[in-house]
Amino acid sequence: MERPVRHFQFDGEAQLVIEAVRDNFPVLREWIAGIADELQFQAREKKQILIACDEIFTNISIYAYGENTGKVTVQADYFPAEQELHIVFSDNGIAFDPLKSEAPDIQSSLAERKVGGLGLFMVKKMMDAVTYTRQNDCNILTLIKKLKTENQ
Amino acid sequence: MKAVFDKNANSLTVSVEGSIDTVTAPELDSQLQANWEGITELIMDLAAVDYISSAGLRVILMANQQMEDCDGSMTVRNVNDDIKEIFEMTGFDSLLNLE
Repeated sequence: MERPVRHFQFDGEAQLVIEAVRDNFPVLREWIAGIADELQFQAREKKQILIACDEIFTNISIYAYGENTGKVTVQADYFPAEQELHIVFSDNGIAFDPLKSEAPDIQSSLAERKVGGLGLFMVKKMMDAVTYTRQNDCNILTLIKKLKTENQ
Repeated sequence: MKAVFDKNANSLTVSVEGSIDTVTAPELDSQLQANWEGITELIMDLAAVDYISSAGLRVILMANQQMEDCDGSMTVRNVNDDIKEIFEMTGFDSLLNLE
């Protein structure tokens, strides 16, 4: 039996499909912010979800299609039994597993510091789980955030 | 995102409001560059900042570097709890002059 799931539509569509360019981020942000509010995520957790979406969307926008542009598909599902929001990003750009990227050296001095890698580091810290698979020439990255009840 | 610039001789105070994200961070960067001339003291007031992603952290880092390069100073003021948590998570708390 399939586990119960609440699927969030975007503008009557099953998923959000947009051109992966940074300037399109507000479309994703508004949609996800609305979902976080509807599920009653606390302000701190909501910000963490928006930051994680920002980082992943930016990464896809910059790297997935090289010099060209392409689409990114975002799907949002809530699993009430596990109290988990799953946000799934898929693109058919070049294969890239961000979970294998090196963690930045956060002890290094400002001058030595490279900001690259920092975004993905934040994503891993802020989400309860992040998974990656490559399927049918698609990168599929899932952000998982648990909804905490007041006494958790 | 909205940034208000208050320039006083060689001192510049930037009060930022809203989120510093992948779209607004480059805007903040170019506004900073436009007000940069002759500044040796930069104060960034983050009291009204909602959240900041790595694109925003990059702008703060570059500004700090630019101040160091011209023997100036940068202070980050009014950091709220959520932003403080991000600074601590990324080690920025020990790199920046927080007030």
